[in-house]
Amino acid sequence: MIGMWELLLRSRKFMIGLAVLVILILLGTVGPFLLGDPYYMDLSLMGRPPSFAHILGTTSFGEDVFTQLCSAIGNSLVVGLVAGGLGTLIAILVGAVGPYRGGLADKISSLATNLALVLPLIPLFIIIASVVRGLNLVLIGVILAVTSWPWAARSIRSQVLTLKEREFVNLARMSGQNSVQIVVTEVLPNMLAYIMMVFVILTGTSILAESALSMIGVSTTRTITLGYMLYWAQHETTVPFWWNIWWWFIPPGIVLTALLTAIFVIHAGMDEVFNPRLREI
Amino acid sequence: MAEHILEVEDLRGYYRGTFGVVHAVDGVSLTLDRGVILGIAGESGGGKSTLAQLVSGTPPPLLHLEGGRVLVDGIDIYNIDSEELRTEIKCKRMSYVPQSSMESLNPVKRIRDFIFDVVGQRTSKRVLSSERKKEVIEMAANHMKTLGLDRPVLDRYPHELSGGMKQRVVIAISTLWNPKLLIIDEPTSALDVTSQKRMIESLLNLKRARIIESMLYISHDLTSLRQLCGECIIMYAGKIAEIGDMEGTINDPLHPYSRLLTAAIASYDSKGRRKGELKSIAGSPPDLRYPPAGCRFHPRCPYVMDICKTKEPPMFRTGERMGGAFCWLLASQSGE
Amino acid sequence: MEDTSKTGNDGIALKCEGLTKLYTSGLIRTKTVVGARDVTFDIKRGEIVSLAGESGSGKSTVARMILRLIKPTSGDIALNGRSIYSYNIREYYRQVQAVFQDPYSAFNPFYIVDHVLERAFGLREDNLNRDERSKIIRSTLESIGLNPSEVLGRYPHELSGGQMQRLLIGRSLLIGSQLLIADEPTSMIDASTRAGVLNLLLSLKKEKGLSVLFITHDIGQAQYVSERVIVMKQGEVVEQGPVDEVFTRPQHPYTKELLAAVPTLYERWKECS
Repeated sequence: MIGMWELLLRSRKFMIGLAVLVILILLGTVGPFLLGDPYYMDLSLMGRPPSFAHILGTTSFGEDVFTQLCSAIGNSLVVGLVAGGLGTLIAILVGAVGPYRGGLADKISSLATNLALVLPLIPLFIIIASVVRGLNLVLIGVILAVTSWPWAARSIRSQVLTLKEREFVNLARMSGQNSVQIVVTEVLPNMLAYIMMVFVILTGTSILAESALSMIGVSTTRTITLGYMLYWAQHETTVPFWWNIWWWFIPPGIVLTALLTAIFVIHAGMDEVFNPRLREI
Repeated sequence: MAEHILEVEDLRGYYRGTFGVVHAVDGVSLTLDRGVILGIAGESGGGKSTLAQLVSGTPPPLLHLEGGRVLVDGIDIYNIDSEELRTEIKCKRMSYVPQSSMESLNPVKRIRDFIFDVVGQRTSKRVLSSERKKEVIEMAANHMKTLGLDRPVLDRYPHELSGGMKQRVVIAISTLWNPKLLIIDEPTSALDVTSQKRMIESLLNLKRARIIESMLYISHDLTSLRQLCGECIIMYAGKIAEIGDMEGTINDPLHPYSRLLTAAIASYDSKGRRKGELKSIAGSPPDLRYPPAGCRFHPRCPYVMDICKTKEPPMFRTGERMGGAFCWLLASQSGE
Repeated sequence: MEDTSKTGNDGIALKCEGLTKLYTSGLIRTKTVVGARDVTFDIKRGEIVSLAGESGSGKSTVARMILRLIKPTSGDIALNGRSIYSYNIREYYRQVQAVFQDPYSAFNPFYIVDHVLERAFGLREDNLNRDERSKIIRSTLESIGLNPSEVLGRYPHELSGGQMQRLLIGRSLLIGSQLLIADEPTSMIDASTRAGVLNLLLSLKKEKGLSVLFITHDIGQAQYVSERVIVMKQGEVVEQGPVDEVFTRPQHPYTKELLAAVPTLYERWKECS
């Protein structure tokens, strides 16, 4: 196990992805403290191109794009982490309980997984957005989590099913342990690496999903996220052509791409180390 | 025609990876005469399978040839291009059946169609003419008959066959071109005793029917090796410990390792004679990333001398017995 | 001590009667596979009994039923004269323990091997502190020929198969069990260390009066280690009796065929010479 983590640190993919992610996290966490209010509109500076005072220019409402970008990164990450963390937790609970309790519990958890698997995200959000007043980041994260866990639960279930057949599980049972103890102390530790991968993927896909929902205006329209920036840049009507104000939509687009690429490169690096079939010993 | 079907000279093969360098086969020389079945025995990690992979010219990705030569029918297989190795050596002069090769049958194809695939692949023809197909099937059926398989097996799917039958189908396919040498790695280890016996008899029939001429048979199981082989090599930690005729090696082992290994085996006796207490060999095989100096068996050897710890023993022969052992204990007896 | 009338003074540790396990699958057109059918045998205290057979003979199914890992379809298993299901689970596993075929699967790769031994104390009734436990572990390992400093604190992949199987036997000694179900304990370890495991079972039988059900496909090992043997084929017992009789004068045609197929080190089959 120790060796695996060392290999991970030696993986170029993992380290490059991690470096990009760390830079973005720093921008998203430290940036907002240094840069002031992202919602502040300077009406004398509307739609200015990048300059020394505003390195990424200003929006057509006179807001500083870089300041907005930093808090958008932070907020998008919050959504991603809430959704990724909660989604992973649900996936573990639903995925591991079936094989362990068996019988009815297994049937119910499988049914729930299959139902959630076909839950359509966008129509669901359109309904929620029209019903719920004051959607906030955490609530959006929770809703994303509730819709994103099924595939992970399925693969965790199949992993638990194979691990369960290993003799050390029988041995633990013969040491007088009950099912919950066995899952927690014998089965789950062997899946830590996999669970981390699930968390990384769920986080990445949730950030993307939130951006997509913001872009069509069904997510929060009050808190700055990467999708929110794209939404407003897209709906700009004060300039004749949207590309005349390119500094507004290109930075969030690049950051979103970089963030997701970093997350998936981290996942690829982890996969190479943890997946025995890809491991280059 | 070369004198020996197989000559191996000072062969070295190491695994190289992030784990370090594993000296899996380290200076192995042997010759296999025409018409002989040579067994290679030893425990796991001894280098038997690695030797087979090197000799067959199919080292897996991390295994590198580090030195030495392999002559199959007089041809140095590491000194010819891979196309020549594929067309001239493999299947014609030498066939290799690796461990658990029965899993290589295509599960969604009948044996018949799988054979067409293999033949097509080998002759670089995508579609075989119907006359050619007939010819191939006749040949395959003939080989399978020698191996004790009925003709209807050709129309079965792999999952309809038992492990032993699948294994024999693979052997039949591997010997379609009547190779002079068959290299076969642990064909019996996944089988039950009754199918093990059938397998060993089938391999003998293959030689009796002159489909193959010689065989290199790799097994950890000395008792089954004993039934089949005329000569045998005992390997330990990447080197040959002892080489000789089968009878001699079992009944009068020269190397302490072979002696202790044969004494550790609980062999069945139909007369019910109780043998004395079995003894295991103390210690465990060395980590081949850091092989011990001198004789590789010295840390576990009960007869260890000072010279064993520093100097690698050469092969010593003793009197009438064929072959010899790589052990300093024999230095005084052999008079060399 | 338990009541002697209950434990029985007939010296029988374990008794299986009419043990049957059928696996059915499918809802409408059910298919039944026989895991074991009408298996009856017993193991006396301080006796090693071999359960021999080829793959699919049902020997592991019997082991798993005795270990309460699967439930029999019908039939009874009694430990010391009492149905095994009348014991509570901890009480039962205090007396019956197992060694499995694949040592690499029996140890959780996530933990150092000490984990398995520490767990064993959960079944004991004395609440020992850390030092006492460690002392007992060390002395037990030494008693079965393992050097504690060579095995403790290591991960499973750093140990040899023989060392791991000995550790598992050591584990059952820590628990103090009287019956060991050894399911092919030597089939995945090397010949040179196999004898050590067999000899360990023999000495535990002699010194501690341990009863062992030794499950194997290797006739030579069954002959070496046990007094009595049960031969199974396709879920059924075909022959049982003292090793010296069954292995020298087999009665059942299957046993004869099986024994004829066993290769030996000192003779060559007629067909092969």
